[in-house]
Amino acid sequence: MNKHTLKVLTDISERKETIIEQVKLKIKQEQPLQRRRHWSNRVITLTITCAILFFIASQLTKPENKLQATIDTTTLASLFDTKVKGTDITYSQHFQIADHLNARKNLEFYHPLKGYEAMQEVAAAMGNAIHPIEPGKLPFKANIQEVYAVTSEMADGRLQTQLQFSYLQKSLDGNDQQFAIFSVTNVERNPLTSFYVNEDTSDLLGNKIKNEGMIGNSPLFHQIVPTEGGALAYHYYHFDVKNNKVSLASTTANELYTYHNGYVFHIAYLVNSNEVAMQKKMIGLVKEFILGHNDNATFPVLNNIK
Amino acid sequence: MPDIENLDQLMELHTERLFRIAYYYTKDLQIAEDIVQDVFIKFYHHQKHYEERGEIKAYLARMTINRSKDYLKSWAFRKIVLQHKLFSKQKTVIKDALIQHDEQTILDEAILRLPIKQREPIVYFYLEDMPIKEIAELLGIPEGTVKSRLKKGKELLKRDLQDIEWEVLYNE
Repeated sequence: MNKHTLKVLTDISERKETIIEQVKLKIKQEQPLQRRRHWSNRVITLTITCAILFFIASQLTKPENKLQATIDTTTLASLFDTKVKGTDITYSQHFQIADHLNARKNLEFYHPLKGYEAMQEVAAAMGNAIHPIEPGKLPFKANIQEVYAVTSEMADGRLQTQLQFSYLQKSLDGNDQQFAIFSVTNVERNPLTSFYVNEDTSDLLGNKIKNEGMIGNSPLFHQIVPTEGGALAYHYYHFDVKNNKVSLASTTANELYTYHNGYVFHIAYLVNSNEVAMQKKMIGLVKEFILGHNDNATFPVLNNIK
Repeated sequence: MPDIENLDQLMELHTERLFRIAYYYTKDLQIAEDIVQDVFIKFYHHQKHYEERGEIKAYLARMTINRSKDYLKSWAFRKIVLQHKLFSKQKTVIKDALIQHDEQTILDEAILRLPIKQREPIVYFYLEDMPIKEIAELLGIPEGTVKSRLKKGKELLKRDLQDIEWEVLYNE
């Protein structure tokens, strides 16, 4: 049989040369690009991998996120030795979704302690995890200092203690005219890790919540009561002598919220002036209460605000 | 990194054959040229694989067939077919008027008109001189299927070329 060749394919030597040249040219053009792409891909992949591993490692090892607060329960129990009645508890209306402090169970209420010295004793029992503010530093004259304790049981059975450090300016008829109230509760984990980024946000009523910055990247959220419109309610403990019971007082106030070293800090203050300078002074005092010092420099002019 | 000199040698040896194979499927010289270029470039980047798949000649041929069939399934090819169908009448008139076909051209066109299934064994057997066994391996079908498709292909060609003395077919 004679081999048949399609006429159009009889002489394809030119096509062959073109193909070979084109292939060589394309490979030559590809090489530097590919090398660049190859290296840039490697660098990007490596960077992303390292970032993910670093993030996972930091989340797993970060002491802040799952730090168990160390409270000397024996000392604390000796300080708060009298149980009293009580049913209602305090928590941040806005951040309850993150810390679940509204859902505490097996509650026990204790008779409050009076005076700044009592505050210092409680602080010592907490391993100086907090640093009570000297009343004289406050921007109002606080004639009452009290510490409240409410205990509950965490999911794993461990004791959870909420301590409320109240600085009150009480009028003769018993009204709290001005106050600064620091509520501290040991928690299992940092509630701000999964729920909030370090940015400004707003509450359920649309009021702005500003991140004042705590330390490092930790946020310190600041809810300021608006001059117009509604604000979320703020509750704090007060003692009902007549019924020997810890009850709740409700109002609206500027609130601060943060997490530090195993504790959720929920602070509220109500002072006659709500100017920015006053707010900054309070932020400084809150940081001092939590950290023992105020990194935000000093505000000499604010010392005059009383 | 694959050796460019080895590729040169391979291209020198196989380009013409691969080009013909691509043309048997696509019936377009330019497309066949592009396909063979793609095959060599792809081979250059994935050179290590052919060693696991047996003879390089067959490997390159399979790559070319696959690439050609991909083209036939592509939207680009379907668009050309559609255009051909829409304007075929006009083109035929021009062609008939201007070109006097010789016997070989008529035969070539008849071969290329065959359905792929029959065209494949015909071109490999008659045009590329490949034995049945090798065609079966290349196409991944049993030898019996190659034979039956070959037989069917010849019948179709004979029917298509009834009025022409086709030396190749009658002298088998």
